[in-house]
Amino acid sequence: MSRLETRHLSQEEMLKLADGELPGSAQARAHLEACWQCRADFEELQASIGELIRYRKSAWQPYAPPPPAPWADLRPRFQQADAGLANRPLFTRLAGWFSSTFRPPTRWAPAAVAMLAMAAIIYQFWDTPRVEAAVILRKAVDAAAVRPASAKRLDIRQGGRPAEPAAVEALFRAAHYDWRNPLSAKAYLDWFDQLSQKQEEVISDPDSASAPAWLIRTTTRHSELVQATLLLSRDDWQALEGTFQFRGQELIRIRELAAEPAAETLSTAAAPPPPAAGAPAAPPSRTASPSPGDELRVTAALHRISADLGDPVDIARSFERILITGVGIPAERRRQIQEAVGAMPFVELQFQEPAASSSLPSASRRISSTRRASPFQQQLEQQLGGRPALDQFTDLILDATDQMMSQAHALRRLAERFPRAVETSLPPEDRALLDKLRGEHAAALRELLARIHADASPVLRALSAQPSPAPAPQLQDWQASTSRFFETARRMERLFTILLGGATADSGAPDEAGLPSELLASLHQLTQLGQALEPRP
Amino acid sequence: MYFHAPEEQWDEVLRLDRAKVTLQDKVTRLYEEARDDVYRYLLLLGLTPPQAQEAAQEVFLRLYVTLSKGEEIHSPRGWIFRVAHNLGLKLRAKNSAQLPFDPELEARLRDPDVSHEQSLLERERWILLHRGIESLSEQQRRCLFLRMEGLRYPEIGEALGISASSVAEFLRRAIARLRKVCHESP
Repeated sequence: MSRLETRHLSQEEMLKLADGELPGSAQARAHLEACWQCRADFEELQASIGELIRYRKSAWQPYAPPPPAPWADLRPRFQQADAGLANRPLFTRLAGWFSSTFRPPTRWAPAAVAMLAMAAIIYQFWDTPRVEAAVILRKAVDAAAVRPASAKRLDIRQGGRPAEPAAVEALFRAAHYDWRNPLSAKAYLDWFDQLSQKQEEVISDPDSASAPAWLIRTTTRHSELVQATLLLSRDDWQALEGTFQFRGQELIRIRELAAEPAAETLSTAAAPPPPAAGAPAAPPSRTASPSPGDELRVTAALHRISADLGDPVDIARSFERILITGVGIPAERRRQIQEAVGAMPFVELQFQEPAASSSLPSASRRISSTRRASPFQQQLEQQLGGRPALDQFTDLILDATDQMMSQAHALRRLAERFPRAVETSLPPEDRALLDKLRGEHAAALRELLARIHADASPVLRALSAQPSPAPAPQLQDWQASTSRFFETARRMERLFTILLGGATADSGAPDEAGLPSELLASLHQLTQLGQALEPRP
Repeated sequence: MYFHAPEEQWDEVLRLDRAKVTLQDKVTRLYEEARDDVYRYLLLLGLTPPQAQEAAQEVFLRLYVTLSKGEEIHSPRGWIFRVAHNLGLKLRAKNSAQLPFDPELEARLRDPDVSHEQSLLERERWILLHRGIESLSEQQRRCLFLRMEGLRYPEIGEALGISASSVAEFLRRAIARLRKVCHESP
């Protein structure tokens, strides 16, 4: 919150101030007292908040449908809950008692840990689980047998990242865990029954914020899969989530994806057919899974129609498909995308209506003439020959930086989806395709940077910018260079917006005097980094 | 384990009973105060009225169970809305339908028989705001509604699984957009 006395408050700071969430608010309030402009803006913001609250009170609350039945008295249900809690296993009750009795824990922690450890040892021999894992698993298997079969959409992650299908499949196979339907009580029970020695644990309602569930955890030293947990719904016995710890590997987490939001879904004819009603879900197998090469070809097809630049289109490869999602895409554009990738293997398209859009229109970055001026505005106006010329310059720079960010974003996505390890595993023709894609992005970036350089450098120099010839760092591969390029480009874009009066300086921005120099330095650095993005012949 | 002194045993039993009754009173009071707010929030998430009412009751039952287990809750209102939010999303996912934000409200506002107490100008204003809210992204709308329910930024962040600074940014964008919609419309 430095320099609050001299600079205006940003909209975000005003909102935080109104909400009591701004650190150093006394300083901001002092500024409000001194500055008419900020005070007027602040009062306008308060008026908008007041308007919203009046809307809620007068327009929304009176017309919301009333509860369909009288509110129930919850006391009988509280008493039922008390009876349930009294039957909790000893260990759980002890843990709850310790956690509520001794706060803060630092003083009591060693004694508490020792006592809990002792309780755990006693508990293991004395209080066997009230509900055995095998009993619950068998109930879940029986329930699954009579449930109509349906294909599950699974999200499989390793170490928090989307897992590599082939590698994960190999791990499950090595541990004799049925890979055809890994998130099922049947697969878990089959593995569980094979283990000659194991420790089992059953926890009821592990997360108070979720629906009633059983958590089954099995630990063993007699399998490559050393610990596996399965979360089963107590409502319908469905497996909700599983975690799998293989020896020496990062944790694998599998969960069923929620039903998809209402969206227009177009499955391609070339994709594997969905399971017939009543038939078991098609098991994911190596032959039915899209490869990185499949994803690359889909990316290239979208790139050919520039759908990877600016359109809110996302590509996600899972075990079963390559899902292309788009939000607020006009009908004509949808048709083009459908034509470009519709016939490709594994592709599924989902388009959502604009109302579900999560982003503001790109025009939000447009700098209106009513925005407050940056300290450089007057100088820029004089230098460029008046307000219309400055507006034209502003539009040129913003258009070019917008395009550059779209290209940089597309290239960064390519680098993230095809890191070095994946790139080297691609067959030669796919590697050549990746090089080609990367080369096209790099060439477009080079051209855009040259345009920005030509337009902005003379202006920046006239604002006394001093270029600092700091060389760009040498990075290990193009993927790392892309990441650095993106960060630098984003910073440059932000600095341009501040310079042209579209945003106020934040804590990470240089002081006003240093801004033109930093911009010039960013431009130089981007030019150098851009060279590392181009494939070597 | 046996107590040698019967008085001591009875004291303990009575103390526990009293504690339970106090907790039941406390949660019941919270339930009476906040159930309508929770119910309306769940409607906004896209639940049907019966689902929203059942889920609102479930939230307070979970609050009671959590407190009975001895867990500390620093901000009950924040906790209640966090659990309501998660439960609401889970139920909505089961419905596999994403309902638009109260599509009938505009018709009700336009109907002079229904909203006769409001002036035409006021109704037009609410319709504009309603359209503005409809045009917000889901995350912006959620932040806005939770803020209107009195939750602080960290509490909203906890409910939605985002940082407090992201909450600030979503709110800023939401308000900027609403002001734009209201001021730009004829």
